[in-house]
Amino acid sequence: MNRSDIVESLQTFLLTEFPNQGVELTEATNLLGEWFVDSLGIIETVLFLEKNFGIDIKRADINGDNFLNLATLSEFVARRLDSTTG
Amino acid sequence: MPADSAETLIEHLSRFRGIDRPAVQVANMVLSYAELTEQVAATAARLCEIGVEPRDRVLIILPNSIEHIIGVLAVIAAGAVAIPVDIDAGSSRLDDIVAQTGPRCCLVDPDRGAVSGMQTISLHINPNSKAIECVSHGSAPVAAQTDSLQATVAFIRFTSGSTGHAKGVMLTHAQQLWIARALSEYFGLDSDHRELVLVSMALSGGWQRVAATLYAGGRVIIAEKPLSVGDLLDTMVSTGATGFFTPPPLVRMMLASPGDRASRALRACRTIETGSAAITSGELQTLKALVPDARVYFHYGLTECSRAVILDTCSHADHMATVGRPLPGVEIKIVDEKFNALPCNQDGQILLRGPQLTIGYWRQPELNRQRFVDGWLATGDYGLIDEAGFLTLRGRHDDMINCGGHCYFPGEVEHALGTPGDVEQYLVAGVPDPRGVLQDIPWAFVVPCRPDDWSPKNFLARARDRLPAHMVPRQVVTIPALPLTPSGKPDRRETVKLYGGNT
Repeated sequence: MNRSDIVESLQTFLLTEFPNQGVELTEATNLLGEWFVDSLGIIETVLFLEKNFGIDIKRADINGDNFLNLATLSEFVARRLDSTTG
Repeated sequence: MPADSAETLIEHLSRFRGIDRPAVQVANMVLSYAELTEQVAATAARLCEIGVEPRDRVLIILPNSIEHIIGVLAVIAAGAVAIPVDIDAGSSRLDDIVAQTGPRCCLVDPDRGAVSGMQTISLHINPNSKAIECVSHGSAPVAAQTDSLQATVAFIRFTSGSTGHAKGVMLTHAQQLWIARALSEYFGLDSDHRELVLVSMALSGGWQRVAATLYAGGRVIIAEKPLSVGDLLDTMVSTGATGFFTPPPLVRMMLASPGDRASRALRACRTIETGSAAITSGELQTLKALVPDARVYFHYGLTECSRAVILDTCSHADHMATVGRPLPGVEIKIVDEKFNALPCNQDGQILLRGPQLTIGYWRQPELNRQRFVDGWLATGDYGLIDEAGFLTLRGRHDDMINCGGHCYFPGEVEHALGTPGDVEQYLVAGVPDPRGVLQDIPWAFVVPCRPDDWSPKNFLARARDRLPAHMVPRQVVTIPALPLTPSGKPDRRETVKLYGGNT
């Protein structure tokens, strides 16, 4: 799966589950500040990542660096996919 | 039920004085019952020195922590009334509670800082000495409002009211002790029980499990809320927890988790309780299959009458579509509009009565007249009882929103939000979650002043600023006009029907 596939699938998920947040969802939109409503939103997103990409996510992964925006989140997923397949 | 002459939870816990068995744990810090009872007594004495008097109201604005448990127990040990407020409750709810109760002071986390206009006492447990440090700051003690509050009241728990104002549910010392004992016996908790606390202790559902565990002499383990199923696995394994309570959303996350991770996480679990929102019998069956060695319970109750009805899915696998039978000592009655009792299998409003039923709402005489009928609580929930005494829920006839176990009325959201300048009219309503995870999702239906260039951005920023997360609308739709009821009021149901998507 290449980076743009990951971005696209994440974008679809975020737009479906957290619709119309009043800001445009770009790769730079701050997910924790402008997009997710609460910790449940984070849990839902984590579960989506685990199911959709088959990766294992721990609390230490759920931080402001990985979950900052669509770009950082996609990179995190890509890194995790690389480490599981390689 | 064993003979027990103790009148309060504090008196009951005093039996554990001097006992060197773990009582509460956060990460590597463990307080024994000896240390816990000692710190409760010391903190109660300190509160008295500071000027807290019997019947004073004291706000508890603390996250789940050892300090929270000691704070609550110390306040009630001092004869004062504990008013737990969820740390995420939002400023509007907090202001409302302060205005209604006139508290003497509030207990907070040292990071929080003073609450304006009130004496603020920060509680911090020293990790080395395991002694509580109380630091008083903020304004000088105010003369608390005098009133005729009964000396027996231990808690006032605030819950959402349909008018936009929260309502305070008064619970006595005897009721607190009764529910702690009843739950501890019902769930079979003993001194080997290790309770993992996943729900805010400021909420009745979270606190009662803590009280029941302490009643039984078990260990209360406070951990950060798990954010993934893998996280829960780590927490369960590292703490050796044997039981927990969580509303259905986290259960659904576990069920949806790939592979056998959830069953591995829960292998040591003996009791799992869910409740506060609906769950299907299919979901309960799947959960049972996932943890064959655990007893799985589902409860129905309200802050007014905590855990009134419980389904023991192991003993009553043939009644999985119901919410179970009343906790021993609790009674249910189903009535029609005129409050006449209905026979089995007929739908009507659910009335509850029992030893843990609140003595009434704080300073709400009109509401007390409406909700209490000859000693029974009119719950506003509808359902039926079968011949064997099992209760089936049918829903509510009002607009209450249940978002993942958080119940509230749209009026409270609208009251906190007010009307922004660029909005002509709007209303908030619960729309069923199409994925079935959260039960209801709060939506806002907005009629903007200038529909062509209106964006929900500021509206949502305002909502995030003033409201707890579960009350912030997840979806904002702009509509041309609000549908009205025949009496000319905005019609929530019709709005949801017309504009609430395909749900």
